[in-house]
Amino acid sequence: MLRFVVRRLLLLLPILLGLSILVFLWIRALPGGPAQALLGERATEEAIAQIEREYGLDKPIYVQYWRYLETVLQGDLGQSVTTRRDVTEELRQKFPATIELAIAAMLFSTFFGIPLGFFAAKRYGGTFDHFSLVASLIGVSIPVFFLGIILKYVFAVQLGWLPTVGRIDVLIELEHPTNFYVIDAILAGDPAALWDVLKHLILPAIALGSIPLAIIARITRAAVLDVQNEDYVRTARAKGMPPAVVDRRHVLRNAMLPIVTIIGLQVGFLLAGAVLTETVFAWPGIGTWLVDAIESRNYPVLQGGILFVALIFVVVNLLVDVSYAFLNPRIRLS
Amino acid sequence: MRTPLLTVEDLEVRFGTSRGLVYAVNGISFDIAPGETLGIVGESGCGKSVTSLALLGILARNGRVTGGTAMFGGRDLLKLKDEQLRLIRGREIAMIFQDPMTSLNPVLTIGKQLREPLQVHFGMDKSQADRRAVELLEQVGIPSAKQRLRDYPHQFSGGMRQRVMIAIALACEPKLLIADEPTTALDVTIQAQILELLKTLVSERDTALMLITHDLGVVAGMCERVNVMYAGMFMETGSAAALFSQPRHPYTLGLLQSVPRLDAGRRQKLMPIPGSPRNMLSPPGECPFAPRCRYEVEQSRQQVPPLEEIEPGHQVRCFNPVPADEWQRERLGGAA
Amino acid sequence: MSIAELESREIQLERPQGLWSEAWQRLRRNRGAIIGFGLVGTFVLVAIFAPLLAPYGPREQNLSLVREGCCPGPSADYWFGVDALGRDEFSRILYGARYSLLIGVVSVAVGLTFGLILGAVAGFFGGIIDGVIMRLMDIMLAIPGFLLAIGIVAMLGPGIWQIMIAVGVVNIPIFARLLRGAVLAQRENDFVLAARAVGVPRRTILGSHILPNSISPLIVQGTLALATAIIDVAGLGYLGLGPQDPATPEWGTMLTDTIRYLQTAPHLAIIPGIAIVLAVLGFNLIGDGLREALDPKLRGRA
Repeated sequence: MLRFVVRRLLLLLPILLGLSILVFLWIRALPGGPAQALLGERATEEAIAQIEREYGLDKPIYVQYWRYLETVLQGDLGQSVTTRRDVTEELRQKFPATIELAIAAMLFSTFFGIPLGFFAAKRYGGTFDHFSLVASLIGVSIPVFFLGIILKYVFAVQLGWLPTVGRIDVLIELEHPTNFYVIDAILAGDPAALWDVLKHLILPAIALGSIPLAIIARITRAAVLDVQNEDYVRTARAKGMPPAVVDRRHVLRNAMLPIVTIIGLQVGFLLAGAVLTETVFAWPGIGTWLVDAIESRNYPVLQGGILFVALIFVVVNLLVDVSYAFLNPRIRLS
Repeated sequence: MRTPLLTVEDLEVRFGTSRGLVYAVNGISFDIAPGETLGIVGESGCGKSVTSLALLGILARNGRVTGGTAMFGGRDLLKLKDEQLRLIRGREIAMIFQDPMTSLNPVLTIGKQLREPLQVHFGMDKSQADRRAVELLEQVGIPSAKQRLRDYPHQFSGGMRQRVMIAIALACEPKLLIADEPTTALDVTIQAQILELLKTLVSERDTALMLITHDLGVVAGMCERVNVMYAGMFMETGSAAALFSQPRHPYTLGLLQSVPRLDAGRRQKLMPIPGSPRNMLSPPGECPFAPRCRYEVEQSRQQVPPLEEIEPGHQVRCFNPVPADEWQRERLGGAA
Repeated sequence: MSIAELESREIQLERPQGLWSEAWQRLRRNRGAIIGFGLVGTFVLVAIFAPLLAPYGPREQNLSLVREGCCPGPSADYWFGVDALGRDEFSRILYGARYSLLIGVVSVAVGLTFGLILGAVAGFFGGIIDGVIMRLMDIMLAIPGFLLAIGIVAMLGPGIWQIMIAVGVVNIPIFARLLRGAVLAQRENDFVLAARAVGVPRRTILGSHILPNSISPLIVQGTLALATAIIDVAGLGYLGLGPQDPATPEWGTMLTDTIRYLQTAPHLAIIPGIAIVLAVLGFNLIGDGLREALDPKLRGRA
């Protein structure tokens, strides 16, 4: 198992390296050139020339790449063109919001998706099964931002049950040691604040998590159907095992393998979807940060954001692989 | 003969498929006594596996028992509810399957899978169950049993896995063991070992054994009585000795003839049974073997022949049974 | 097990039909797929005949309607209501079908073509070529699709053609992987070895033997990619990265900024979204139906 993990880590490196090259080239491909990218709209001829000298942009490309790599690895991603603050600093402030949203969406989709798929498989061919298939199909056909808009309209605007924007009511005072508002509220021992934070999380989490829910439900259903027909399930029944035990220990345990893989794949979707969801709910995370950056041509931010997101994506994939290996004794013991 | 353990009468099983109803089992009757070994022989698709699955109530979703009774311990298995059947499965009637690789759960240890029936049926705790599990593994001939408890199925070879399956099946000392093609998926050399093991174990415990197979060789070495099955019905039943020396049904004769023999001359032609198995989408209205039969007569095409006793203990379902000495003549004189 | 063998034996005795006619039969019976074809058919027809069907031009403004603020809802003259600049929403939706269809088809075509070439080459020639191409694809896949599209649009600037290219490029690694897998699986097949043994040149084998057999997963994936492309394009439009002329009736772009009007004119936000959902649903239904119809495991069964 350890060898497996190490091998996966090693395979990761060329991908990360390739990513850095890709982003590096991308910066250079941006309209106006990298100097312009760094300066934004305040670029004059002399300023550009000075930047070019300063950043060694007149040197050969591989030297530039090397310096670039050095700076990135030291944690320096440049300064935001609009706020003049360190990109890394802004990133650190904003990513908890997105991660919190992503985790909430992930919890929502697995918590409802797996049982839905499981019961659909158990009642194969029945009305519930058909209903779940239809619901899944519609679920994957709704764009995230549209769902967000609809949810907002129904629950926030019309019914007024839930708040419309932001992570927390402006009137609530809360310390933010971690910037994960849920954790902050718990740490502060403030149940009213916690409830408020959760209320703000609900709609965006549902909007973001609906497509993964639909996909997870479908995969669970397919996996359970497949596993149910396996010989070892027949053996378990022939041994006189109670149906609940057969379902839990034999069917689900084996069905989890493909399900976990799919859950891992959803992370990429969640990160991408966060960009859209955050704009609908004015959620102050990486999504809105990046969207604003696009509009204001804030290339250092864009670069930092994309690198960060790709890094997370790659790391999560590694975790998924590792957990798959853990669940599958054939790999675990090799 | 002792009082039968299991008495099956007129069992009928059908499957609902998108192409219509499949009449998998069409009225079979048999019984098996404690300590007895009964063989059910037939080609793939004749319904022999379905029979045992129906008895235990673990047919596929689209399968249904549409007729017959199966008396076991004073109760009709086919009428029991699943919770009641569950107490019998693994405890009084156990089953082992064809492919040990796919029949064991790949993500659970062997120990866990052995403990399961012990915990469920006998309420043993983990250490009790483990002790018994080690005993069982040793009885089926697996070395280093204690360490092996923690291993997973993929860490065993094919023959070993089948031994484990046997251990699991015998864990609760069932009265009847059903073995569905237990050696088909194994190498020839291992086959003999497994069969020997089975033979020893059931005789030690006085367990009844129902051996389902398509392999005549397996049956010959193991079974006292044999039922030959075709198209969901028994074509011939009797003692192994009688069937092998004096087969009366053309199908049984055909099966024996189709086995290539080492002592036949090099120029001896192989004799397969011509044609293909019957389409099971309709209930039988004639002798199911008639289309492939050399001995068919007009009546064969008009009704299904009844299963009748042709000699004490020897039944045949045929309007024109093969002469009693036919097989011996062919064997000694060379095939025609 | 025995019943299945029995059934398959029996089927061999019947006249074999081609893969396509069998698949077509199965598809015809799939209710979901029929609904999907209906939706997509409507979508395509609307796109083609928009000028004939639309009561107003898509850019025709009638500011008098919004003098008192936004925005009149559905009425007899304006079936879907009117937007902030007095344009008929119904006509804009109809014309919007053209953009979604065009952009969807072009991007998938781009992704398919390049992905096909890369994947086939990688799978067939193996070795270093395979390694390099696949590493490149892995890197592209390391970034979630939509974000990759955003990155490309950032590079190229916003606009219709740019988002077409962006979504197209995002599709390339998906198709490349798919085809490479299919080619690899086929390469070892007996009929390929037989062809080589007789001396058929490699590119002919690729073209005449391997590619035709790899088509089924491609068709399925292509249809599903169309569905995703329409969603991604709408997303990019919503973020303001699509057609820069706000008068353009692209469904995603029509949704931008509608949040402001949720209280007063919800129809502006809801209707374009429903159009998107219906179009995407149609393609998903067809794609699912195709996947089931072309599944080789189901061959020979009803």
